[in-house]
Amino acid sequence: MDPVDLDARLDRDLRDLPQPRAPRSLLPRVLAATVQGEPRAAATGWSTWPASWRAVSAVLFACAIVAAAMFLSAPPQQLTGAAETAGQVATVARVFWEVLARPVASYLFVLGISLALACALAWAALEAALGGASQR
Amino acid sequence: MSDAARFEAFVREYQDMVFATAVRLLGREADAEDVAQTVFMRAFERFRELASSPAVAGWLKTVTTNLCLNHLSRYRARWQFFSDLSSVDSSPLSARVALMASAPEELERLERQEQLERALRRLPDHQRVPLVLFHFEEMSYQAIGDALGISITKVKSDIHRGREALKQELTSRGSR
Repeated sequence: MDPVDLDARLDRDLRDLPQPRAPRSLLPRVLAATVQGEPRAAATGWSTWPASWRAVSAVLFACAIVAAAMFLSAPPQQLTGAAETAGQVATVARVFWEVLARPVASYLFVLGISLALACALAWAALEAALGGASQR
Repeated sequence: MSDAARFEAFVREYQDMVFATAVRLLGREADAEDVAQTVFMRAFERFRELASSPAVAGWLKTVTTNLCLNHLSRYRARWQFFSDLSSVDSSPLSARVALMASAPEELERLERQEQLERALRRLPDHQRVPLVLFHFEEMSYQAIGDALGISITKVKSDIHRGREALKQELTSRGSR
């Protein structure tokens, strides 16, 4: 066939090519995805929630604020005791840190960094050696 | 009509157009369906403004094209070397071919179209994508070069090579 004719025929065939049809599964997939997407859209901001949700959440929030205020203004006895115990534990920990840990902390830090570097170098060397061997 | 019903009607109206653009650009039906779903999810997010816009078809085509090009560049490393012929065989066109078996000329024409569609999808990405953008999306060489980040010369040569491969299909069929 003449090359010009062939070109024209290809143009014509491409132009006449019917549009492929979407598979039947596409529409259900899209609709299912939009249904799943709706709750996420609703969760984007309080102002976009339904009015009833907003009213209920506002009441719950107010209750939480009032409860927190009552709790802080008159702390129960158990809480006071727990706070004293926590203070004692903190004092012991501070003494332990000042007397025992702090003098050697800098040495331990340097040692840790050195060990990490040594491990990284050893790993890189091992990987280079094994990788090279496997490629061969 | 509720928003959900309007969106369903919207998807029904444009799904073939979006899918056709995607499947010709990507060459694979499964990927095209994924991209088409993403396109419609984007449309869903701004459905109120899109539904009343006269440029909605253009918007859908642009988003589809961009998503397909992103998809191709993202999955370049695992491009398929063998086309999925079975998926093309399961297209409604095949059913029509079977139905039209009593009309030899029509059957011949449909078979030629099916073969061309298959050959188009079998082209390597770097030939198929510019060819589809040029012939089906009616983009200029310049616009294709800009979209793909390549020179106009490269666009022309890739389209030319793609056309040569398709012509080969036409002549090989004609010689049978």
